[in-house]
Amino acid sequence: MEENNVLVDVRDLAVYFHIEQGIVKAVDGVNFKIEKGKSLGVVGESGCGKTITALSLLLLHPQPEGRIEKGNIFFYSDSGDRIDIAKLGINSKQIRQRRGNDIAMIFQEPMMSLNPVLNIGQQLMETIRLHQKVDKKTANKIAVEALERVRISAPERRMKEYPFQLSGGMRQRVMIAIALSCNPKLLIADEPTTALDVTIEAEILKLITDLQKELGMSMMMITHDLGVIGEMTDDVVVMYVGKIVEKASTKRLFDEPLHPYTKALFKSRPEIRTQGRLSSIKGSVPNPYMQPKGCSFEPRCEVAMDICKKKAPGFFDLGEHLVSCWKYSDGEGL
Amino acid sequence: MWRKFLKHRVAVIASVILISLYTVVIFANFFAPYGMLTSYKFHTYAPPQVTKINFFDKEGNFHIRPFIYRQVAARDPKTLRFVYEGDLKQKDYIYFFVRGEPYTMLGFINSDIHFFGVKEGSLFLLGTDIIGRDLLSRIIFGGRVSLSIGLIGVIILLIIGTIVGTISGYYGGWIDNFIQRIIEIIRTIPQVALWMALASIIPKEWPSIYVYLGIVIIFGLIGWAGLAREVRGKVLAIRRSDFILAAEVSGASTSRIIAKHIIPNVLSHIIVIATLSIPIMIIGEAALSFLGLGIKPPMTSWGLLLTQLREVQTLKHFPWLISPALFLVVSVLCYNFIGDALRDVNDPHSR
Repeated sequence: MEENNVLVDVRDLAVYFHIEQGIVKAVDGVNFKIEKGKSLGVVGESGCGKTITALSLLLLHPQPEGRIEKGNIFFYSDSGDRIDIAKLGINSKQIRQRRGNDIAMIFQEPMMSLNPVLNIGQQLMETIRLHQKVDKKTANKIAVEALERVRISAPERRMKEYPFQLSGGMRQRVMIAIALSCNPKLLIADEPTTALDVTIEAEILKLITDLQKELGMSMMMITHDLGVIGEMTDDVVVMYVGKIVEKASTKRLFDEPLHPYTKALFKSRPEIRTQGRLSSIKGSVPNPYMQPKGCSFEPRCEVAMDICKKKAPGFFDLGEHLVSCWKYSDGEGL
Repeated sequence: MWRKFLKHRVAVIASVILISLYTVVIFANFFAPYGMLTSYKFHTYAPPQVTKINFFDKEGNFHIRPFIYRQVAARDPKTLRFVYEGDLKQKDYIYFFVRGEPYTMLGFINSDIHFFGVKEGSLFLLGTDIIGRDLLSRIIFGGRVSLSIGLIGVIILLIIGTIVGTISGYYGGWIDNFIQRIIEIIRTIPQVALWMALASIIPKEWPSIYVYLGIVIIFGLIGWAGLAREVRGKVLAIRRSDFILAAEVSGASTSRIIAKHIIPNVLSHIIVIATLSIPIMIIGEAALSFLGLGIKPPMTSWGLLLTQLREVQTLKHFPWLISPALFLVVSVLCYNFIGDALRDVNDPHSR
């Protein structure tokens, strides 16, 4: 990985929630890089910190209870300058200029992510006019183009419609149009198709892939659907309770998943030939206030050893394939 | 939205009534047959003539223009009170756009044309008070105070309630806690008692226009608590919704998010609460004035007009003096009907 190819470099990022019942380590020492023009998949169960990680790239993790405790989020601009997003003020002008302009995001629920009282045109033009110094007429033109880009028919008419007049897939297209209206360098897609039905899902995923290639942007795809990861991403990180447990290229991971959690995820996928009951991962995500001392997956792990209870594993590199599991330690780190 | 509102027939009728009431009181000088303070000393406690309007004279001839027989006063030899009878020889025809007392309306319209009236004699449709002032005219002028106090008070209430409620809901944390406790304190004190306490602070020697403004401000300063609490609840819900996050992701500033995304989404609630707050203030003003803590003469209001009835004997002998209460009830009911209809229109669960 050459340094000048990297767009976002997250180092040892930790986001903790300080709430009445105690401290929840939502994101706990996460490292990953997103390369220019490439896409990174983030997989994991609900509540494992995927979304919080993504939101913290924009400093939009839930506040005031959530705080970035440590770590860096380096963002490389075109000129090669490096800024550390984690060090910016939470509502500072610098971060607001990044949001929407450099880093855009689309969400899981297209039903909820458009303002019900503003029409499509107003919402598109808002983002455009926040980042580009253009008059209303030009903004309108850019907005129509943005709608054309996401293959919405009769864009001029849609501009005047309200979210309730659009279908779910249509709304997600509008969300994508808004996100891409300022040509961002990174698109964060937070389970963009979970709320859509299967046929629409395929269309939207194809649209996102096409537009990513067309605009040459990077993408961070958050999902719990391994099928989506396999189709859309170049690299994958697997997250479990706030930590990354495995990191590899998508091909490597699909060829040979290493971590017991990843293996279990693959096993619980439905396949055409699957007979009888689908296998599931026994147990559930540990209580966030009382995390095990050792490996956090140990209580649910089928191949747990003694050491797993006592000490959390570090990363073991198996040649461009990082995994955090004692099984691959070869006696190192014990 | 409008179509849905128009389906509430009662509310539509109520709006028409309210709009006419406001038109009449705004152009009070024109619509009132007499001035607010003009008194006719030979017509004290004259009964209403609205029931004495005739189209047929005593010979049975039909007149296209209605008329009344001129009211003449005579002393009752036993009680020494005035008794009024129609003089059957004198027919006073009622005209529209008739010339009467000169006036200056709204500060710049000088005229002497009244909406209706008689050219000679007198016309007291709702009777007169103790010093012979036309009650209908006084109700129309008093309506200026009664009907405007709710509107102006509601504007103050809206501004304070929306700002405080939005801050409370948007920022959360200790700010929210602090504001909510203040609201609770305000709401635990009985409203009428608080009105009275604050109204009694207004110096007695102030001119009546200042007293009026003072009362408006008191209503605004007390009434915001309920609105602020409702706004806060809505803002809290909207604050965590995805479209606010989406706006933040787009790089919108806090002030922009509040003004463009949050307020428009709570606006419908604010309008409903505001509409339902107006009648509370109208009643409040009437109550304060009735108790002598509100509007002072020479200004008048519907509540103040009712103070004449503090003794039940007065009501027994001169029952028409209760008519300001009728206007009070009608306008309060109209506001309530409109408020209820707006609530239905805004409720996504109603069909």
